[in-house]
Amino acid sequence: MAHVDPAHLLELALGHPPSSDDDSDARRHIAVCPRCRDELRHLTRVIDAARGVEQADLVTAAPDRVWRRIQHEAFRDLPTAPARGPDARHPRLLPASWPWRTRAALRTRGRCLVSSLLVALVIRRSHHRRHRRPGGR
Amino acid sequence: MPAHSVTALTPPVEETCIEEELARGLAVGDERAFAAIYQRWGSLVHTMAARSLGDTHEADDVTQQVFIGAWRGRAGFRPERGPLGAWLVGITRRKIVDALAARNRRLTLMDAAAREAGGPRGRQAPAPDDVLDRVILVEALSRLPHHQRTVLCMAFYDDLTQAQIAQRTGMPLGTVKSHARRGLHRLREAIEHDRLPGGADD
Repeated sequence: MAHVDPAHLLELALGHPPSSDDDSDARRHIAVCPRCRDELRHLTRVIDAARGVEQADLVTAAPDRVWRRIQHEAFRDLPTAPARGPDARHPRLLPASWPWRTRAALRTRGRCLVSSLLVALVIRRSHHRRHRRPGGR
Repeated sequence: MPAHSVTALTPPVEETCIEEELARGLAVGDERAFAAIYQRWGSLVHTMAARSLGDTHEADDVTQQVFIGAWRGRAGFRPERGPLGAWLVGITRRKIVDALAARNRRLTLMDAAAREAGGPRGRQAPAPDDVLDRVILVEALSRLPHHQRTVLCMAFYDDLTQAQIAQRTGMPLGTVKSHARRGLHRLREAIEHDRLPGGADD
C-alpha cells in the first residue's frame, strides 16, 4: 500500500479533524506502517515544540565576557595574538577576503535574529492559542 | 490515498554556502572564521544552556566549553556527517547533560547532608530535551524563507488546514503544501540532525 502523503500527515499531526474517507485509510495505514508512524511522530514533535514556545525560549545574545574568555583561552597558544581593540571585544570582524555576500548575509542574519518581529509574533500567537484552547495540545 | 513520493530536500543554497565556508575556515584554524562561527551560533548555544540550566553563569561556562571544544577538536568535524551548526548543537547538548549531571551530583551530596540534618531534600533537574527543542525551533523558524514561515505559522498557531491557508493567502494549494513540507523539513533537521548516529563529535 502507498505511504501517506506528507501533506496529509501534516494535517494529522496538527490535530485537524478527519475530512474524508482518505483519513480513515491513512490512519489504518499508519497503524501498520513503521515508516509513516515514525514520520508522524517526528512531525508531532516539531509541532509540539512550535506550539509550546515561550518568551524565554527566544535566542538572546550571549554577554560579551563569554567571547572574551573564549578568545583568551582558544588563541593563547597561537604564535601571534589575534586582533585586539574594540572589534576583539565581540566577534564582529569577518574576513575581508570572504565573498561580500557571505559577510553581508552573516551581518544581516545576526541583526535579524536579535530583533525579529516574527519571533515576537510567534510568542504572541502561541500564547493566544494556548489560552484559546485550554487543555489542547 | 495519494502516494508519498520521496524527494530530496535541501536547505537554501546561500545558507549552505555560508556554513561550508565557515567550516572550511575552522578546519584550517582561521581565527576569523572561528569568530564568525561564534557570531552565528554563540547566541543559540548560550540560550540553549541558559534555558536548560536556568543560570547565566553556568550558561557562560557551557558556551565557553562548547566553543573551546569546537576550536581544539576541529579536526573531528566531519562535514559528510552533517552541517557545522548541527555539530555545535550536538556538542552543546552533551555539555548541558554534563552540567546537569554535575549539578545532580552536587544535589545528591546536599540531599545526603540534608537527610542527616533532617532538612528538606534538593530537587531533581528536569530533562532538558523539550526546552532545547523549543529554543532550536524558534531560531530555525526565524531563519526560514518568508513564505515557508508564513505557511507554517498559520498552520501551527491559527489552526488552519493547508487548504484554508491557500484560500487566505491566495497561493495555489500545491505551493502551500510545498512550502509547508520544505519548512518542516528544515525545522525537523534543526531539531534532530545533531542526534543522528555519527551526527556530531566532541
